[in-house]
Amino acid sequence: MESFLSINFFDSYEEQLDHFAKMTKVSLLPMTKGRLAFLGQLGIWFRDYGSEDAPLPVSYILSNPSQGMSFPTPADVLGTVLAMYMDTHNVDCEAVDLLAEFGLDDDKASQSIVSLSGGELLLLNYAKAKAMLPMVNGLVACSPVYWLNKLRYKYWDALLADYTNNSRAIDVALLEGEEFPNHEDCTAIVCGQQTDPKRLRWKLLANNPKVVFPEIQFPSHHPEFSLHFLSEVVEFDLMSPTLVTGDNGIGKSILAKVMAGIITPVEGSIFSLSENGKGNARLILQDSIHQLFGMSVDNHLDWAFRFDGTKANAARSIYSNIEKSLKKLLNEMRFESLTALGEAGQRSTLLQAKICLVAERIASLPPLLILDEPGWGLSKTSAQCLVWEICKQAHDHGIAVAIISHHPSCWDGLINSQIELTKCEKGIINLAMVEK
Amino acid sequence: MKWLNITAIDRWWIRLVLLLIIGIPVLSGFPLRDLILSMKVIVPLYLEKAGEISCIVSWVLYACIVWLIVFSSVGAKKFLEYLAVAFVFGLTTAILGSAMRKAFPFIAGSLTGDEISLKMVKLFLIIITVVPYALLFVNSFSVRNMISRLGEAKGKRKVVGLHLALLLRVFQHAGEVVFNLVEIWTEEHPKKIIPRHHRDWGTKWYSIANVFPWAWSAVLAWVYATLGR
Repeated sequence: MESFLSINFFDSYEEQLDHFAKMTKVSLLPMTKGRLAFLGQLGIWFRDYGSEDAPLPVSYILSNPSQGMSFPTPADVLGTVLAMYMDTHNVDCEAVDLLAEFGLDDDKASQSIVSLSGGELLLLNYAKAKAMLPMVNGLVACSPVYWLNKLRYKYWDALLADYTNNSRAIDVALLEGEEFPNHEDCTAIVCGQQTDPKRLRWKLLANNPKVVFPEIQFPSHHPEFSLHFLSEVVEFDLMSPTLVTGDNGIGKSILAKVMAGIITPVEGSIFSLSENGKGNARLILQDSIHQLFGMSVDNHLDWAFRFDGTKANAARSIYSNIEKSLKKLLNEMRFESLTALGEAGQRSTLLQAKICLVAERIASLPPLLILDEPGWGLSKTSAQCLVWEICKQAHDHGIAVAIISHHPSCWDGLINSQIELTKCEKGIINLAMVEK
Repeated sequence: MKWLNITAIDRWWIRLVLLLIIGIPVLSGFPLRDLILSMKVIVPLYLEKAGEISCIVSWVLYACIVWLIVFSSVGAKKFLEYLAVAFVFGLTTAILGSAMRKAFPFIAGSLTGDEISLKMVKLFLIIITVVPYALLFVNSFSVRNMISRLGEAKGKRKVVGLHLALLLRVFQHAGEVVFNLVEIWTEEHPKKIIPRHHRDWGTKWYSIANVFPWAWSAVLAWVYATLGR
């Protein structure tokens, strides 16, 4: 089995993507580098689309699983691939079977791709890779289990077995220290070697919020669904940073959006209360790179603070504090290069994008900052140093921090309280504090 | 009104023909031009701007027909979403258009204040009619089916077909992610059209001067975010 699998480690998301481009001849659109670079790459994509020799005959899974999906629903994604070698009448049934094979219910087949959770998207990528198996020479996968709950690693093992049994090569690109099935963790834990962030108490005021997503009829049909977050207590006494965990697709990101005031509950409410008062949280999404909203890293702070010079200065100072501390920490304890922090004087990497988004949020002084999978796209050491520095800066500004993650071990020594989401029945999610 | 549901028609070319027929007034002006002329006769002559008023009434009638077809085809929720997009576009264009003509009179030429207002109302009506129609048009065809049909094609036909499919998919994708992007935008702009951080708004002279560049940057940001997501 081993002979078909090669695992490569990289220091940064950018190096990982360079490797991916080399292996597949597919380059991603680099919005963080500015609009000219983005348009240039878009032009190359359009020119090469459909030409016989441009992409190599491999299937791939990208570090951000939404980027490999080019059709509106899972049924379309799988149907397009299957139709290349199957009778078109059997395609839809086969697509549903494939989804079931990777733990996705048949009602996901018609759900819009943009409404799937990160973990569900990754499982859909597995199903697509399996569908492509008869037509490709191998699989190139970047961080292929990062967005999955550990209980679902079996689906990756199953995909690996399918490719290996058919003598196809599998190239896996991981970030240093990334958790991977049957692989030893190879980097040291850095937390605990630095000054602890000041301890900060905060409260989650949850009055059983319920959100409803109405029925969609067009372009594909998807029935109405709702999520009701129930808890035995109304007031959770927590110590920041707080870890929020739960299975894939349970509704962690939806809860985060409700807490941030992005989604309004139809009944009940949920607020955070800390030194900065009571209110909505600010949120860094798991695919945070999209929160730059078509801006380069350099332009984002100028844009956000065009009408508030005082906060602009505060945000720039928070940005440079975090970046300086990170550089120092990584320089002191790292054996790897600092490519994640870009070239001198340039801000164009994913890590820098995350620092920029965090600086803007801290400067707005919310009661709570939610980091959804903050380690995505970062090596373990960079992720730990970043979250450590964010907690220090946030706590100094009276802001509590909540981390949504499938990798609790990554935040050992940092987490002071934990909330777990569990499914009671369809649409009912229990919210409970976990004793540490 | 199931018979008005264009998307329920199996054959793609019948759908295309019907959609093109519905779009004729936008593409060619026919038969709206004739309708406006006949309406001029009905509109009391003592009313000033009888021509403009007939034009506006004709566009309202046409908008109702288009909306009815879009509503029957996509359902109430999607229809309201399409209308929301159309109204935002329409209002932004009309308000900015009027403000620009007020600020820079040479753009307006010899038009009077009333004429500018009527022109902007007409522009608004056109936008709120055309946007839902365009969204219905773009989403009425399956790129998946197009690609499946192109499977056996060869040579230039296949290359051109694939590029057309890609182009259509880019437009469809933009429509799909736009509602997702609203969530991201709301996180940073909870009041939607006012920046979250606006302490200097109205207190410093350069803030007013920055509103237009900021609004233009916002439009560009939306375009790039839609393409990049």
